[in-house]
Amino acid sequence: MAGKQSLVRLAYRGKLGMKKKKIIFPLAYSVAFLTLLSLLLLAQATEGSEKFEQLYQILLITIIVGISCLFIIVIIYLFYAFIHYRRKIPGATLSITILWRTLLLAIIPLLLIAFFAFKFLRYEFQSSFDQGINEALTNSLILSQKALNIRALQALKESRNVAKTIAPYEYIILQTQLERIRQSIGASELTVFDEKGFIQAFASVNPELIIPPIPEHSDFIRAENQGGIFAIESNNGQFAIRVLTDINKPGAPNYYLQTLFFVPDTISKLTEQVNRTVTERDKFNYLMPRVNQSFIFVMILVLLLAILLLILSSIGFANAMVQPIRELIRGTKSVSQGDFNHSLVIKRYDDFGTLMQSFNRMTHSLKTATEEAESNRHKVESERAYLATVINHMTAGVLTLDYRRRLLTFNASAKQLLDCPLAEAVLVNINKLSANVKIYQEFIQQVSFIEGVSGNEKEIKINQADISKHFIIRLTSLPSTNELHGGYVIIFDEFGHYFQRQKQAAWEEVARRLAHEIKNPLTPILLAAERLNYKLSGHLADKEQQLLTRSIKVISNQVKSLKNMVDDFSNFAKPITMKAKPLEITGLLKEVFDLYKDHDSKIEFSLQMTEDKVFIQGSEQLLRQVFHNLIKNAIEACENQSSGKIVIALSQQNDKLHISITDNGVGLLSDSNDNNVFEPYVTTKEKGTGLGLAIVQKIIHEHYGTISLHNCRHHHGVTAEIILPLTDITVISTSNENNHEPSTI
Amino acid sequence: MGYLKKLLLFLAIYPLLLFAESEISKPEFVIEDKTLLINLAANIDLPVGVIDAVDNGIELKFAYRFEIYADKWYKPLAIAKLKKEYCLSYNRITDEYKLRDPITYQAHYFKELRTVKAYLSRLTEFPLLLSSQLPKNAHIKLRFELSAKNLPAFVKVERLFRKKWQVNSPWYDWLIEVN
Repeated sequence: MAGKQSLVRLAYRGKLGMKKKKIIFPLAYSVAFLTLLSLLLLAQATEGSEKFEQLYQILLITIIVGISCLFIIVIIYLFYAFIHYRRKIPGATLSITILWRTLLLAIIPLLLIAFFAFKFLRYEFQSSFDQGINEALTNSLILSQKALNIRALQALKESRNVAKTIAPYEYIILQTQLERIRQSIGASELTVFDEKGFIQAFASVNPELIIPPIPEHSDFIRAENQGGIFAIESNNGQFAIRVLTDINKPGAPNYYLQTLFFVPDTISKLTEQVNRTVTERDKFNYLMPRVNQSFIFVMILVLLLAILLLILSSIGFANAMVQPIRELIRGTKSVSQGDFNHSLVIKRYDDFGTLMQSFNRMTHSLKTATEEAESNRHKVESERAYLATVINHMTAGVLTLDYRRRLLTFNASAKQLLDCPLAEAVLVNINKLSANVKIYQEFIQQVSFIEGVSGNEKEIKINQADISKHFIIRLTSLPSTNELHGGYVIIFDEFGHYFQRQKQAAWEEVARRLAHEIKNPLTPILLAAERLNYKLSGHLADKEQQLLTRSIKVISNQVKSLKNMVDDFSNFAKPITMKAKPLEITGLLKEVFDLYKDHDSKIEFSLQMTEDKVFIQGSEQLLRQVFHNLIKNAIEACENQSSGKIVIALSQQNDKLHISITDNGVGLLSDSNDNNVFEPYVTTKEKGTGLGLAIVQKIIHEHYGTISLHNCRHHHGVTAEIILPLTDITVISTSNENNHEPSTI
Repeated sequence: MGYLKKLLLFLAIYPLLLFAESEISKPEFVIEDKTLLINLAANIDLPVGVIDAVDNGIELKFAYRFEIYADKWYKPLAIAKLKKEYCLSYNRITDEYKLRDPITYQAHYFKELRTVKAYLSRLTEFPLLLSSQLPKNAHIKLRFELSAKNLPAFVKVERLFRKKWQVNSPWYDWLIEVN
């Protein structure tokens, strides 16, 4: 198990990483080349080349080691391919398919060739052909042996005759007669041994030979027992017959005669030729099966090497084929995951290279198209956001409906004016609306929908239980296109608000004109009065002088007063620029409260807050101005009271923030109501322009809030109540009908 | 993995199984005429493969190999390396085995292989080196072997794997004790 894991690790550890792969393949081919070279030399050696015969074992070891190395490399690669296949790595299946198909294509012909090669090698070509020659050779051998035997028997007979002849010879006669006898019988050598085997007489054709070969003791005994023995000797192709017989000496122990007869040269040569040929034939017959075995052995090695090389080449081929496909698979995966930056490295210039180039071009085009689409989407989004901002900042309510008159979008003012959860009505059929949006249902039912209408104005009155609202609406029909159905846009406002805004707009216009018209002559008037005072001063009588001084002072004061009033007008007429940001309203209220709490010992200030920290979107500067204005008003109202009391309260109800400033002052005049105290130039104070509350209301409206002023029910005094939204404007997406999720900006 | 281990073990041991067909008894060492001589007796086995080759006209070369070492503290020091060679062949005409010394060309003829083996099994008074060259505590390594060099290539492969070709004795290592 551990071995398997280590093999897997070997296959996966950068292991058979690209660098190692690059090394292993050339290494494997080098080993294969070396093995092949050794095989060629081995084949030479097998064919009998003496040069390589001495290297036979070294070559054999080299080949076996080479084949083993290749086998291990092939096994590792196959194992690696199998692991890839099991792990479903891109391209692994194709790699395996190419591998086995290539192997199938190449190995079958290879095995067929090997099969027939083996068959031919095992075929005994010469067996039938050589049979006759074999027999002839064997017969020649027998013939030669017979001829030599006949010659040997003849030599034995002659030797026996000589033995009889020399038996009676004395030692001296023997010495002198032996050479003559040798010559007479044609022997090349004659030797006489005594009973102990010592040489008694010796004659030889070779004068250089001093001592002849001495037979073994056993040979003497055999010669005596058998009446003579002979042996055929061969020395460098020259055959000779050596005979040993006993010499019966009368009345004395036996002597022995050794004779040597050379076989005639012609016979000797022919016999030697037969001997050599027979020996060569025997050698050939002996070696033939071994030659076959050697060739088969070499053939098996060649076959093994060829198969291993084939597998290795197939792996290389499969890798080369799969590599670009693997790259393409990785590339397409990246593209499918949205990564268009994936570019393939082109290393080849074949069809795969073209394919990879096309892929790169395609991803580049996709990238460009996606970037364009993204850019367009951003543009549309920003335009939509801009439009939504515009609509949401409109003080009038805006509703958009589809062609089935189902609500698509609405703005904050619409929600506020209709005072119902409009989100519940989004994409709901008008007849299936819940009771929570009853007011909206009635509102829509009263709208006269006419296609193709643009800017049709209408007044609508809604009477629900205790609520009565009067709206003025403007309906616009949206045109249908091929892909989109048309719809409707309703812009509406509460009748009172509408006219109040109209009035306020008129007042603002008046204030702006007044400020402009009055402000301009004020400075020349003031300068003219001061000049008059300067010129006449000292030229008039005391009484007239006093009158002048008093008149000039009145003019100057009135001009300054007019200037202040003009500044107030100017501020009122000026549009408020609000930079809304998250604001901790509780902190701001505490800060303002701290400023006033010790303002007057006669007035008791108290702060009541139900929440610790409340955040809203708003302008700190403008809201601070609102609180200062309202608290100042409250203080002024309490000025004549012996024990004034001002309560500042903050509470959170649903998604609204309620802030109230209550005093126990004189209260509002009975004929005053919510509407007219916020109108410009309406004031209950002796001094003042009557623009303070108008500006306060304007600021609160800018914060999408409301402000109301009313007398306290249970005691004297006035409560100023501000209601501010806690969350920002809600907009429903209109881009897709199926997308019902409201989005918050 | 188990099978692979067994295969590797078999391949490692197999050559050892093919050795040690011939045996050599402890030799005698004598010094004559200031020369160290060796007398040895061996039990030489000529297996079927060898006899078959000789009978079919292949000349085989046998040899006694001697290596004399002097013991040194670091490693044995080689003093002399020599061998006594025999070429064995068969004559079909005379039906005799011929044992020839390739250096002296001295030949011996034998009618039977038994006598050839008997001849090969004895080595008498073979000179090794001058007695003056013999160090103290010298030891001799010797073996009897069939020389593979002169074998035909086709037989070489067979000789590597077939027991019927195993003639070689193991290497013997004896201390040289002169009588």
